[in-house]
Amino acid sequence: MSTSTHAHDNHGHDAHDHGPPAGFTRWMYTTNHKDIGTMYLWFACFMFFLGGTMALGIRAELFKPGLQFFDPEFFNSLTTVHGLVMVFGAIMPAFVGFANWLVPLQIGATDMAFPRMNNWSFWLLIPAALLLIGSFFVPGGAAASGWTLYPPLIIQQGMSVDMTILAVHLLGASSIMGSINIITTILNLRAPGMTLMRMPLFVWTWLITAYLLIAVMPVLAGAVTMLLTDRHFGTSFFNAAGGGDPTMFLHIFWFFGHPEVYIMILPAFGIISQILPAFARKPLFGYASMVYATASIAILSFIVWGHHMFTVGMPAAGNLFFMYATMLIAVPTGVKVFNWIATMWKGEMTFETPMLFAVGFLSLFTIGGFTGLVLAMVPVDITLHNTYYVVAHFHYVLVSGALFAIIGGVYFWLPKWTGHMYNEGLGKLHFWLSMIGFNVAFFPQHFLGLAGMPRRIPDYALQFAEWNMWSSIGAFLFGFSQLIFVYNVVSTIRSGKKAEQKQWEGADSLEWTHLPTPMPYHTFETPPVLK
Amino acid sequence: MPAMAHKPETTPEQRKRSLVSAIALAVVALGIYAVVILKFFVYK
Repeated sequence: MSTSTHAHDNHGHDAHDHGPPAGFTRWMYTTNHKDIGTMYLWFACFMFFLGGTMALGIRAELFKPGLQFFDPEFFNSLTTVHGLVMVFGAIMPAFVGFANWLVPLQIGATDMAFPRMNNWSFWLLIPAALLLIGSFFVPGGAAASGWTLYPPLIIQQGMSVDMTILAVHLLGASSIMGSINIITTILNLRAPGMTLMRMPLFVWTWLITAYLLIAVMPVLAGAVTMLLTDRHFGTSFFNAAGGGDPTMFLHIFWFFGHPEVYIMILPAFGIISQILPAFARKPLFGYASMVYATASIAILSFIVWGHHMFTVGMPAAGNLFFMYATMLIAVPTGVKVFNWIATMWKGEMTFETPMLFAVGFLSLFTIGGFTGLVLAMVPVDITLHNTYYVVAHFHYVLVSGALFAIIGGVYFWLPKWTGHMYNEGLGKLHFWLSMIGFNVAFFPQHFLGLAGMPRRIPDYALQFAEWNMWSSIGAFLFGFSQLIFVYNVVSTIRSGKKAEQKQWEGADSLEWTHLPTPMPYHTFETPPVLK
Repeated sequence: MPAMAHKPETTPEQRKRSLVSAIALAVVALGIYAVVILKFFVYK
């Protein structure tokens, strides 16, 4: 949505503008939202490759039937830590990186409301990551119960579980502090004239996401604290042997876990809602309905957790409630997909790399959404539960959904951030290899799931061999094609054609219309004038 | 002036409102955590 009704000249505002100090202290002590955003994004990139390496280990093991490389226990650790790293270490920090970079710029604020807490939020991630990675090297190996940390298995494992629980606490504290900062910044530091309903969609999606985080991260923290007391302090919350109920953990975990899915996808919706209008050269269709749809999805996300546990024996009325509530989410999601398509309709579209990833997102995320509806049906889910169909479904949502949006967003804002234009040819190559690799990796997993292949197993029956082979080939193609992305980003930072202030013709948020390229270290010290 | 000592130029009113918002949100987060934990500890 256009907010720049008056092109305020910001070039001369920074009479005392200065560059950052050099060396490690710049990054250690920085309170600058751009620096902290950059650190979040690089951290997420590192964790993405770490989690990706684990994924390739999993796919290498599954390339053919039989045990090739790993013992089953280590295989389970790989699937568990892969999930934890990707969810908490890659996708979430990447979106927080975008929020740090873009929220102050898009609302005309000089920085986040609490810059020191912002710094602390980031640096808490490092010990959390070290705990997760280090858990592989303690006796018994890393946690092997899946990223959902289900008891009773998780209660019986070694000290790596305690490391994982501490890591989850740290990551949760970091997320809550980051969310407080984002909400406070958006509500209090908007430039004069930047009303809530004039904010870019990315800011709106993050405002709603931050409320979701504050509501559900403490629930996860409570659940894992109780796991800890079950393990070490003689309680039996989730231990049936002591009168506890493992199913109760599932309820608490998924009360966090389903909103968490939207925490990982709503900011992606925001990024896509910025990219599509820019390359369609049209305003976003149905801005207000996009805001209300985002809020509706967030609210509904609190009443659908039971669809993750249709097989635990809930009453039929409970199953029906969760089934219908889940299907209801298709309505606001459909509104968003409709609006994105309507935005492109009769637009003067061009297909630079960010637009390619946005269109890729739109088509593949919709497939992931539809398979979500399939899984929402109780009788179908009882058959498909814990099969590769579920694995295919959530990878279509989180990889071709969240990750494609992150990559598209990086290409979109990279010229603004660095002052250089990336290599378009390499960007397009990266997109097409990712698109092919991703679909070859994950589409066959639908067939495997429908045929009955369970998830989280290192070996499988011969009937599943062929599609597993294709899935592994696709996974390696997708994984290695991401090296093109890293090369493109690094080479853009170091050199490249000079980017223009408004690199994309249709981009209309404040960072494009009011700030030079590259941006000064401190921006909007004088709030922009918006009519 | 070193960058790390840079102070964002917010008004006292903005700072006050930001602090109130942050405290309220932190209380909500801690409250939810306490409710989850205490519900089960008290029940047990």
